[in-house]
Amino acid sequence: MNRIFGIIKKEVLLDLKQKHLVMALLLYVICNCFIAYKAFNVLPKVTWNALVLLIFLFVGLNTILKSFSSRYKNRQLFYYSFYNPVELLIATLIYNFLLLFTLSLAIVGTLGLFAGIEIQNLGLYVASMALGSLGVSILFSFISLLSIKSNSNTTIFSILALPLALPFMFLMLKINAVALGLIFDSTVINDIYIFIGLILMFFSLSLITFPTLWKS
Amino acid sequence: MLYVLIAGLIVPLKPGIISCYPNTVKPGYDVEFNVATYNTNLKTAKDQNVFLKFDDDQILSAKSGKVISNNELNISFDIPIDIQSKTKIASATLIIDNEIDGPAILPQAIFVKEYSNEFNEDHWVGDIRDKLHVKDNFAFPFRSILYETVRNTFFHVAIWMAMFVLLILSVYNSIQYLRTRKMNYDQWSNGLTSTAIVFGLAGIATGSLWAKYTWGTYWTTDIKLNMSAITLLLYLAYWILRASIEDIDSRARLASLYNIFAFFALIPLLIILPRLTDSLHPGNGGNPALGGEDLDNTLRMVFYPAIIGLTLMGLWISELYFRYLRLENNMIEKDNS
Repeated sequence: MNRIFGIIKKEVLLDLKQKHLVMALLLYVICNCFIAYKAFNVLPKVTWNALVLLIFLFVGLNTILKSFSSRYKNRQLFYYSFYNPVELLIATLIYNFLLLFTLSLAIVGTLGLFAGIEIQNLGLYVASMALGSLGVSILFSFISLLSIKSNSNTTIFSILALPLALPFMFLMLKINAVALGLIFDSTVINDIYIFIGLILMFFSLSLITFPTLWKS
Repeated sequence: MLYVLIAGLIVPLKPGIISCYPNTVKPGYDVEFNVATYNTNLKTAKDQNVFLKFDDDQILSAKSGKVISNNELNISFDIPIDIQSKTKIASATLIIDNEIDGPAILPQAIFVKEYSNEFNEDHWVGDIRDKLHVKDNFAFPFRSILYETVRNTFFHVAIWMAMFVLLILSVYNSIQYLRTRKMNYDQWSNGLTSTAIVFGLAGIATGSLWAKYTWGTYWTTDIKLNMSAITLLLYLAYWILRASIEDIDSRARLASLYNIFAFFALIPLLIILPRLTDSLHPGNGGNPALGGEDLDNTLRMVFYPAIIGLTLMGLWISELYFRYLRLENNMIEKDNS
């Protein structure tokens, strides 16, 4: 457990030292939100919901790509000799989840700054963003590890990862719509259970198959 | 398969009633209905009877009628004021019977409002079951909305079931490859998945055609349709993954891993999620599954061979593809050595 925290601390320190990577992501968020806002000027709620999630999807793609591609190519041997693969996976997942969650809140904040926020059920909204970040980070981390091996890294990653992320997107759309007050669904707790179930399934799959992938 | 094709497409539908106009009546009046039917011989039949059935004890016989053509009928009933019913609006089933076609029914054909509950013995005809004619021919059941398109059950549903079998086998082969690292398993899983993708495309195509004739459009925002599109995207990505890696061993390993991942993502998407949400698709979200009311024994006789036939055909195609891959692999190894 301590080693996992150690890895996470190392990643955070690395990011603080090379601030430009995280700043690039923040700039991506702000630019996206601004362009989206300028396209509509007056954002109805439905569009607001859709935009947040679209930007979230692509920010997720970029976040995980950043944390895997640029660094691992040079340091694979280093990591392999030091870390237990399972611990490395869990640490990367947690770190990516925290990063993506903060970025998702940044998306909501920025778009709200430009176009106004009308969230009715704040707890539900934050919970769905958190679950989405967790699921997306698990999924994308696994796929990016798969895609390191192929020649065209980023394209194959996007092709593999985007269809898999779609169920998360659908669920998030539905739960966010309920939280915003767009639709009324008293059984939204079922959707959250489905979400947690999906996340657990992908997480266990990644844990089981990751050591096989690591021995390359 | 040939049997399925021929039987599925040629066997005629049983006679049925399409519509009955007017729909809602007030009791105590003499109402004339205009009934449209399908696959019947109303004009040429001699011994014809038309009944309105409210429930097992309350069956009304027609007062008079006029046959307009083989498939259209004007019939008049004397709707009594007193009907025993549990619901506020009583509904009745229309039964048309003649010696050529046998009985044809339309459930909930008319709705009667504002009846009273005192039971008066005069109007009702007794048990009509011995008055109906029995037909022995082989014909498909007549379901409303579906009409002739019920034949698509053999193709559309059977294709998806065959695809499932192929995918399960391919995941098994992928797991075996990861355990033993023999190229054999990887070639098998490649062949099976490729055939499964083709079957999936065919399944979506047949489903889309079916939707055009029953629901009116080629595609709709139904969850099962969306989920099957996502699964097909996943497996197309599998193909692209295979194509993008040059090294044989790492390609096999990554493809197997992705195959397992995609399959375990597919199970909740295709099976669990549609049953939890409302859907137009039979079997999910409030509709009775295809097998309860909709599968007649005549349909079953063609449906079960269809599933078996399509599965075997799929396995045969994958085996051919597997052999081609193995030959290619052997030739490459022979060239290299």
